[in-house]
Parts: sequence; C-alpha cells; structure tokens
Amino acid sequence: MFNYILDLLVLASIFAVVAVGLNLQAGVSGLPNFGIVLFFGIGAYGAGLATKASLPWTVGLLGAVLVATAAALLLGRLSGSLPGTYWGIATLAIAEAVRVILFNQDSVFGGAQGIGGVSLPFASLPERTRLILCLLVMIAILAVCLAISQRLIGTQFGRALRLQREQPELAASLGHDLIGVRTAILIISGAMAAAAGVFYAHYIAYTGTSELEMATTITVWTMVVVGGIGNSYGVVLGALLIQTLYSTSRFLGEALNLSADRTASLRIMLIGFALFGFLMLKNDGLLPERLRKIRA
Amino acid sequence: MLEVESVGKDYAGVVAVAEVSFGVEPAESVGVVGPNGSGKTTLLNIISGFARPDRGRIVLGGREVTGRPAWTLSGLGVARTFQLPQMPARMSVLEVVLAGARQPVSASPLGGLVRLRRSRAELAGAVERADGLLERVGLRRLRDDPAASLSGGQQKLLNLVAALIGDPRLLLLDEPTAGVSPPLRKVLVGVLEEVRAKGTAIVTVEHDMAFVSEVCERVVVLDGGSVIARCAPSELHLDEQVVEAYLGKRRADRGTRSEVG
Amino acid sequence: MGGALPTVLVNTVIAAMPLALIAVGFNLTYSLSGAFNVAHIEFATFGGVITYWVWSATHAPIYLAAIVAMLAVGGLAVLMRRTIIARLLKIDPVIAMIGTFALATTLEAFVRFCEGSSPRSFELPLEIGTEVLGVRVSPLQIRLVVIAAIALSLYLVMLWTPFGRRIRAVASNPELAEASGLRTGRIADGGWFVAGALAALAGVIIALTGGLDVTIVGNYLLPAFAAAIVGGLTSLTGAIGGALFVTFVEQAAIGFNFGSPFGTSVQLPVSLESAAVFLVLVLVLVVRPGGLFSRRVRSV
Repeated sequence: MFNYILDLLVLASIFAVVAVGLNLQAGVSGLPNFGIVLFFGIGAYGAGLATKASLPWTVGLLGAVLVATAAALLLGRLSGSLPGTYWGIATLAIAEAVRVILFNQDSVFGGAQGIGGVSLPFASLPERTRLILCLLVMIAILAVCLAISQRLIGTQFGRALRLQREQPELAASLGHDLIGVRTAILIISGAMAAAAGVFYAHYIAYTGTSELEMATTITVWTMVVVGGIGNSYGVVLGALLIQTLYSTSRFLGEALNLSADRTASLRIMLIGFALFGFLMLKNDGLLPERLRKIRA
Repeated sequence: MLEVESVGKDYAGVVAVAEVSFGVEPAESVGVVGPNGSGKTTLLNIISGFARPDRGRIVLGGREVTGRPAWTLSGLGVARTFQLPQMPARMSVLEVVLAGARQPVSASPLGGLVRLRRSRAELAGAVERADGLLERVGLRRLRDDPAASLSGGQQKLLNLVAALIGDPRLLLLDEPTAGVSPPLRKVLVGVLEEVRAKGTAIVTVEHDMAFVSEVCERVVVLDGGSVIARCAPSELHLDEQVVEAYLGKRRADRGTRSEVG
Repeated sequence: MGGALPTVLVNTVIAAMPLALIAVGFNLTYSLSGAFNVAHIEFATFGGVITYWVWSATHAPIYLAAIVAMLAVGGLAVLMRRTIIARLLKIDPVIAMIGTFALATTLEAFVRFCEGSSPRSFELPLEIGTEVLGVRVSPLQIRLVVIAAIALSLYLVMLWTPFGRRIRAVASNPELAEASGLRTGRIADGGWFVAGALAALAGVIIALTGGLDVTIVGNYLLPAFAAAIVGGLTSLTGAIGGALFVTFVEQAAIGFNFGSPFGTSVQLPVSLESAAVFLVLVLVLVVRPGGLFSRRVRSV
C-alpha cells in the first residue's frame, strides 16, 4: 500500500511538471495547446531511442530538449498567423499526426510495441528505497520548474506574456515581439514537458504511443482547469487530485467487477466529468489566478 | 524626425489611403483631421506598424522603416494609443503601465531568471516612474485595480501613460479626447505640453477641433484618402475645400457621438 | 498494387467520401459558432453505433436504420450546442473548445464502456466485385460512394437555398446577422443538425465497409482534421477539396511506384502514409494558414 502511494505521488509529480508547462502556455500566455503530449512524447522517445542506441540517459534528455525546441519554434511561428483556437486545433492535429507516425513506424520507433527496456533509475536498490529516491528526484525537478514558472510570470517577460494573452495589439504597441515571446515560452515549457517525458519513460521502463493519445492531453488539461488556470500552485494541486482520481479508479473498477478495458473507459469518463463540472460551474478552478500586487 | 512619403493602402480593392505625404519635426505637434472614412486611422496604423502600406515609404530619423512590425517600431521610439483601448482584466493598472516600460534585462526570459539584482533594480525604477505618471493623470489610487475595470476615459489615459513610460520620440494619438471627461481632458492637454517640452513629436488624429487648436501647431486635412489642405488650426475655417468636405459632415458626427457617449 | 494514377484516383474517391462528410460539418459548426467541436468526430461513432443498435433490435433495412441514426445524431448535435457549447461560448471560445474536448473523450469512453472494443459486423451478404480502372470494387462501395456524393451535393445545394443564405450570413458575420434580425440561434441549430447528420452518414459508411468498431473512427481523426484545416476552417465547402487532397496524398504516398521512371520498383512503406499527411498539414499551416480553399485568416 505504501508503495502504491509512492507510485501515485511519483506519477502526480511527473504530470504536475507537464501541467506547469501547459499552464505557462495556456494559462499565462493564452496559447491553448491541445497537443501538449507532443512535448511529453518527444521526451519519452528521447529516452527510448537513447536506450536503443545504448547511449546514456543524458544524451536522450539533451536530444529531447533540442527536438522540443524545434517543435516550439514551429508552433511559435504558427501562433503568429493563426488566431487562438485555430492554433489550438493545429497543435492537436500535429500531435496526433506525430503519434500516428510513431505508431506505424516499426524499425526506428518500435511501432505499436514501443521500446522496452528503458533503464530504471536506481534499479539496484530495494523497491521501496527506489521509489522514494524516484519521488525525491521528481519533486526536485517539479520544484525547479515551479520556481522558474513563478519567477517568469512576475518579470517584464511575464507581463508581456500576460498582456498579449488578453490584448495582443496593446502588447505589440508597447514593444513586445508577439511571436518572440510566444516562441520563448513554448521553448521553456516544452523543455519542461519533455524532461517529464524522459523521466516517465525511465520510471515505467518503457516508451510507447499509448501515453500520446488525446486522453493524456485531456488529463493534463483537467489538472490545469481543476487546479486553476493561470495559477502555477493551483495546477500542481490539480495534478495531485486528478492523478489520485486516476490511480484510485482502479479500485472502483475492481469493486464493480469490471474488465480492464471497461475500467479504463470508466476512468476517462470520470476525468471527463471532473473537467466538465469545473468548466460549467467553476472554470477558474480551485485556486484561481489572482491579480499581482507589486511591492516596490 | 518622421517623414511619410507618398504612402497609400487599399483594402480589398477599395482605396483607404490614396497618397499622403507629410513630415514631423522633434517637439512638433501635428493634427490629422478629416471626416470619418478619410483614412486617418489607417494612416496611423501604417505609421505605427499595424498595417503595411501598399505604396510609399515611412522614414524615421533618416532610416527607412516601411512595413516593420509594431514592436520593432516601438523599440525605435514610436508609441501609439488606440481610439478604444481594451485593457486586460487579469492585470492591474500598474502592471499595464509597467508593461510599457523599457526593462531589457527582465524582458528576456533568461535575464529575468538569472540577473536577479539587475531586474529588481529595473522594476523599482519603473514602478517609481509609473506611480508618478499615474499620479499625474489621477489614476494612482486605482493602481492595484484590474485594468479592465476602469471607465472608457480612464482606460484611454492608462493607454497614454503606458505609451509614455517608454519615453517615445514620436507619439501617435488616435482620437485622444473621445469619451474623456472635461477635467481629464484638461489634464491630457497639460501632459501633452510636458511631453512636447521634452522634445517628443506628436501626431494626433482627432475630431475635436477645439482640442486640435489647443495642442497642434499644424494640421493636415484628409478627405477620401488624400491630403486636401495643410494649414494652421486657426486657418481651417478659411479653406473652402475643407469647409465643404469636413465641416459640413462634422455636425453629423457630433450628433451620432452624443448618442453613443 | 499497380502504382498507376487511375488506381490511386479510384482509391482516393472511395476513401475521401467519409472524410469529406465529417470535415464539412466540422467547418460548418466552427463557422456558425466560432468554436471547434473536437467532439464532432464522435458524431460519426454514434452514427455507426446507433445504426447497429436499430438494425440489430428491429431488423429493419440498414438504410432505414441509417436514416434514423442520422436524424438522431443531428438531434444530439443540436442538443449539445444548446445545452453545453452555447453556454461555454459565452464564457470564452477556448473554454468552449476544452469543453468539446472533454465531451469527445467522455462520449468515446461511454461508447467503449457500453460496446466494448471488440468489432461487430452487419453480416452483409458477400457480393461479387467489379473492376473499375484496375481496382476491385464491391457494389456496396459503389453504392456508398454514390450516396455520399448525393449527400454532399445536397449540402452544396442547401447552401444556396434561403436557409443556406442565412447560414452563410451567420457564418461570415454573426454580429451583423444578429443585428439585421436573423434568429442566429435557430440558424445555428439548423447548421449543427446538418453537420451531425452528415457525420453520422460518414460513420455508417465506415461501419458498413470496415465493420463496426468504436476504435476505427479514431483512425479518421487525423485525416479529418487535416482535411478540415487544408480545406480552410472558415470555408463552408473547402473541406470537400481538402478531403480529396489529403486522401490523394495518402494514397499516392503508398500507391505510386516511385521507382518506375528509373525502371526499378521503389514502394514507400505504409508508415509513410501518415508522414505524408503530416507534411502536407504543416506545409499548409506554414504557407497558407487559412487553408488552400479559403480566404486568409486574420493574424494577431
């Protein structure tokens, strides 16, 4: 049971990092990225391919961050020519296209089977110690990402992001390069999501396309919306709550005597209902974004 | 300082600006007047980088800047205000003003993360200046309110303050008085006087003739996208073409404005 | 596969029909409401599932069951717009889009929960295929292509009726339409009904040719989005061209023998089918963000 809770917390912190990244895009910058799994997947496949090529994990991480940067440059460029939700649907289509390519490509990406045998961190240690160490590492990564996020939001760069989120023309008239600031935040948050993907692949010792489906995107979005879109701390809270809902739905499935297939469907329905409920009744989330008071 | 050379623009085959040329010197204040649809706002958009001209050149301080994006021009010292500025709901009044300040270190993501002391110093300086400017236009006590909660007139003054905190060399104003109450209008005239005294050139697109006479030395009259007259504000009523094209329609404009406002 | 152009063209026409039926509705509802309905693809799922339910419960002719499904899904679309999407749109278009995303995953999970992922079949009698331009085609496929083509033509004709003129008015400028006294809500309802029914028909076609499998519609997600984007999201008709174009690229990528000019045989692996779609999608987004068949979208 203790191991189960540790596992839940590790997964919650992994997805909290992705959610903090998504919040920097969707919440802080008004970039509704419906393909956030793209960055996560780039990380996971970075780890998988490094394993396959017998390279150290650091190479996988570095490669993943580089590819994520390239993806961010493309999405940033598109943000200049596509208005908000149009850009959102483009990100969804691009992420889905990449998933389908990975799914169908056997020789390099492992196709539907994915890539197994990704090295476990701290594999030589006993299970419980291993999980605790994983959790500590992941919490440290989360803390760094959270600190970066909080710090950035309050700087002039953050003001540029938040002003262009609501009033792009005003931001441009005050000297803020719209495509530049958007691309910059996509690179930063994309790197966060990619790092989370690298760690995730190592943690579950596997890289595959099943985590790149729309269900993952909607799960991360639910974390952001439930926690409070625009509020980094809220988003972490949302990640913890939704991951708990996700992990414990297994017991509900067992109690109702459902097949694994149906349990998975039930789980997605539960998350869909949570998202739906918050959208209709409290769309600013549990910890809403607040106006920033400046002391100086 | 600013040279507008034979600039023209069409929208979907309709001529918005036919061919307009004029220049502005430092510390000079020029009014651009004309009936609705004469191309005034399009011209302002072209000069400030929000629209790309189909013909002609824009030269700023001896350097051609035609077709540069708005943010580049802002970096070169061009600031503008909007006719009906929309302010963000999730930022405070003070933050909107700060967004207009020049804070090179903390405007770059890496600088803001790493060079903590420098960016803190930048912020402190900007806050002091912002408070001074907000005080001047009577918005200081609202500095921590959501910017979108201000009245229309207050939002226009906020837009002006955010444009001024970056110390522009050229200030472009799009109907600065529309929707602004008489006491605030007086403040506006005073602020523009101070800005000019510091050497900033001002181009004002305006309907309110009294305001134009108060703050502008020269006016350029547009009709149908072309310049039909250039004169001092006091000579406007002497020009027959202007009276015909513009003053006749102005009364109608006033009528609709009072209905709206 | 022969690798000749006629083969590719025949395959393109057959495969493009359901895509076009899905994608036109996607763009129609976007133009009418300003929100992308990510759940639109689920209308196709429901079209197939409801047809199956009606058919297996009543043993009515499949075409009758399909019509029932189209009406039911059209009604579902109207219901969805009224109860959920219109409400969320009042808050924010992005919130509305998240809402449709939530709807899409929840509806899909619901159907999976009820139906399971095991495929079912309509137990259609086997028919002898005929050869069209070197491709073996079953009479059922021919009938379905004709039905889809008729439905698409009816849609185009509909756009020129008085009702269609109102739809175009609302799609091009909702505020103006509202101000000039059009009942925009009613007109949007009509548009959503049409979009739902067309997508349901696509679902029936997919189920009749590939068997009823709730996961199979997922395979149409990417090409349908690609067809809609390539055709131009703000265009009411461009998606038909978009569907044909995207399918042609797909079929050409796997169907052509790229070695034939050099006297050798170089066939691209099947996995490149999706890579080709990806490439087309990104190219169109970068070069002509408004789509191949529509006016430019406004930037910033």
